[in-house]
Amino acid sequence: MRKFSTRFIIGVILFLLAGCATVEDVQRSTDLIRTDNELTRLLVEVRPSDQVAAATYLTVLANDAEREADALKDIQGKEPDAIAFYRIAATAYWRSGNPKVVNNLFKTASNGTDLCTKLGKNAPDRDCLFLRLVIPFAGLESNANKKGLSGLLDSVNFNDNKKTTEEIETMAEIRGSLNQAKPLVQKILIIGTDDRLLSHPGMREYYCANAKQAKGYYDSTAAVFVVKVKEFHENFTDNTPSLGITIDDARAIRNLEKVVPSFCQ
Amino acid sequence: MDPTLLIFGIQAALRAAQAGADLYGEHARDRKVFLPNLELPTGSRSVQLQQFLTDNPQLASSTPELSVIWDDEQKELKTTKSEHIDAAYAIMLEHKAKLQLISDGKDESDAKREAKMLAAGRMVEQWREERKPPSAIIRMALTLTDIGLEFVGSNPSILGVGSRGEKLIVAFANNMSSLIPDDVDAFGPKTDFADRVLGIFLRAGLGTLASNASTVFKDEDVTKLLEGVTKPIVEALPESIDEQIHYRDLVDALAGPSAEAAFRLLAENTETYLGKDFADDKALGAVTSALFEEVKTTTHDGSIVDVFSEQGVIRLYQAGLGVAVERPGLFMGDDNSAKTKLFKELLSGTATTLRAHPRFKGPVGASLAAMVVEVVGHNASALLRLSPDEPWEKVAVTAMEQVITSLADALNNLDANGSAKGALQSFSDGQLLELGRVILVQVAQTPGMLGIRRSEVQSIVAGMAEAMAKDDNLLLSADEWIRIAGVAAKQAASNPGRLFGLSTDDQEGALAATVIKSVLGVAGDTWTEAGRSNRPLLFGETLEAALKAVIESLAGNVTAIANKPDLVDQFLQKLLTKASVNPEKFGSEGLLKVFRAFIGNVLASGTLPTDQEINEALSA
Repeated sequence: MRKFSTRFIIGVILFLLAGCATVEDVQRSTDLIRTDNELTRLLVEVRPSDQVAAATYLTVLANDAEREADALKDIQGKEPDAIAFYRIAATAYWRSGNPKVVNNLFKTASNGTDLCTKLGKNAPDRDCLFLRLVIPFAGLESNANKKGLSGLLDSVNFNDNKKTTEEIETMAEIRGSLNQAKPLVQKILIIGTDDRLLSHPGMREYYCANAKQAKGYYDSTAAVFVVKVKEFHENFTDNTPSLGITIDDARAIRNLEKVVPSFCQ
Repeated sequence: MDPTLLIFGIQAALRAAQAGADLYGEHARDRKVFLPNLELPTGSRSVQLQQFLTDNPQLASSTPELSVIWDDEQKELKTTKSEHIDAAYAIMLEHKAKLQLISDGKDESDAKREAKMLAAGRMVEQWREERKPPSAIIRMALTLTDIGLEFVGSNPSILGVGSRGEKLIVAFANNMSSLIPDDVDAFGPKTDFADRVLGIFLRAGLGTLASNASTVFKDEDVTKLLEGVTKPIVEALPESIDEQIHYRDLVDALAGPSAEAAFRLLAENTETYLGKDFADDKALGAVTSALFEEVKTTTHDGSIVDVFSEQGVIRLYQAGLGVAVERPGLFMGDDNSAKTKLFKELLSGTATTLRAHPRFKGPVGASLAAMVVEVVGHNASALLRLSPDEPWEKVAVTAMEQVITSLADALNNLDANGSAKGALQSFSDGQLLELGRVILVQVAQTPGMLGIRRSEVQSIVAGMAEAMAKDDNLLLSADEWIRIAGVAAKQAASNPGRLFGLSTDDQEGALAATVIKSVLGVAGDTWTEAGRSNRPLLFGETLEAALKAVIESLAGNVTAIANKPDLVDQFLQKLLTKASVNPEKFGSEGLLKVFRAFIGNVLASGTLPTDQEINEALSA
């Protein structure tokens, strides 16, 4: 009888503890839904009309989500929740455009992908795929906006039979920038080999739209760079001053080892 | 009770609660969320043309302005000369505008937000197709299987092939689709909740089978149970998250016992009425919807759970279900629609009465109310025939109010020490409940005693309470008083208005109350004067028997006692005097023998028996 009483009491204690845990779980799920909804609102409603305010709100939201994720990441069974909060934090840091939070962006994306690796085949599809994409996305955007490659290319004109030192320096700057952007685009394209995209229509559509955009941006910018190099060599046969790059070199920079997957066509 | 079953019950409850939270968490993680797109600069005209012609190289061959700048072999521009680029750029814009007009068929205002979102990103669900969480129906099936497997360990006999348990699970599986609407998307958060409630009901069903070896549930009974009891619980789930949390807590507490009550009723009816249809699902639905709607309602005094307690709510629900099974028509309107409002009003009316009498808050009051619902519901058709203008639910609320008010008044009639007067101070909650029950049992056989404008029930309770308050010496125990009340109620039922009158205003003058008080007066005087030392006879069982005898005699000729209320007093005094003079001849048995022999005549003629007649009766 005593043995039974002990088992019964343990059962009751477990029941009460589980009751508390259940309430906590429900509240956390509600938090996740609310945070996701708020992120969407900031991105869709606020950011298009007020980027400055949105950046502030997004940074605060990202901090909250990161805190939630950090609190959950080491709890057995709560990894998927932690990954979801890391996805929100990474999105918000990325879209805040705040240079001060770059380290946080890397940290959240890295923590999230580590958890995805830990979960293996049970890792949530969308969140884990997105966490792999967010760093190259953010890097490529930063590269494109910081350098203003397109504007730089427009400032170079070798068809006027003049080659200024500034133009040659600008071409060197564009080359360096393309060399930085290329691995980022390749990282994006290599994710296209992930089998999960084959049977995830929503994520596939999202990936393809962005992979095409990344590849299109890089390829067209690099192609115009090639044309500028070609125009230099067509218009100037002397090497003083030298451009420092051949047409073949320029085409090699343009050439990406990976392509947009066929399922995106 | 089997300890394994108890432990299993706890584990099962744990799983049910955790499973609900897990499913909600799954929904939070897996629902579609917004993923923003890359935002890259559109680029200079040359860059835009390069991208446009890479994507649409066929246009270059058919348009001179484009062909002049496009190197189809290298897939790159031939030149960035502004005169060529500007002309080609104008052509590109024309083509893009055409494409836009062709592809955009949506109404602008309707698609405004969607367009905004599509321009900035995509709504993306969590899982790829082969790993998508199972649909609502498959989840429910998995839940049924899971619960079935849990039971296999503890109750192998009810879950063999073709067994009663297996049949029940199959019946659940056959009918679970009734919980899911045609438009599954509209089900929203109810999907997970329905799964959880279904699990609770299956456990209750299997539990009922385990404890009733002969019970077998038919498929159609389970259909009605799911439609009538389970579905209303799911449908009452509120929209907002905070209300949902509160409701889920209530369902955690009430759904299990509700399911058990429903299955117990089903089992009883299956055994009692072989071949009879269990119930109308609309009637069951009316009771269940009313309960789960009403528990959500909170006034400044709290919800009905605060008034009745969880145990009391279930007791009332069980009573309501019982009436719905026996007389489903009482819960249906003329157009055959379910009358949910009816049971809601019954619950809220009862709660109002109990709030007014805090002594009866909790399970006692709820049990009394449940008894009233059962009695009134059982006799509703007779009541409606007697008084077609009195809705049965109003009669029930009124009867309950009258019983509670009468008892509360009696209990609030306090002595100098602040205790209830007389024998009432010795009544426990259970005994108060029993007092209500014995009277209501009698009422059940004589439904005419119920009514809104006049209630003999109230007269009986008030009269008996008045009499009990006079038992200052506690000559009778609470149980003995309850038995006397039963006899009084029976006689009152057979003789309307005779024993307790038709008004509660003058119970002092009611015949039964007068006579009982008179007998108590004599018994009390004897006890007070001498205590046990002088061998008193009129207390306990003897007093109970004497009171029963006099109450039963009140159904006969009472011409004399009506005019001379102290007749019984005189008769008893005479007998007790003789007994004290001849103790060897007159014990309690002899006293009762003589009392029973002459009480009818005393009440009718007013003539007391002579000594000779008494001696003859003793010797008989």
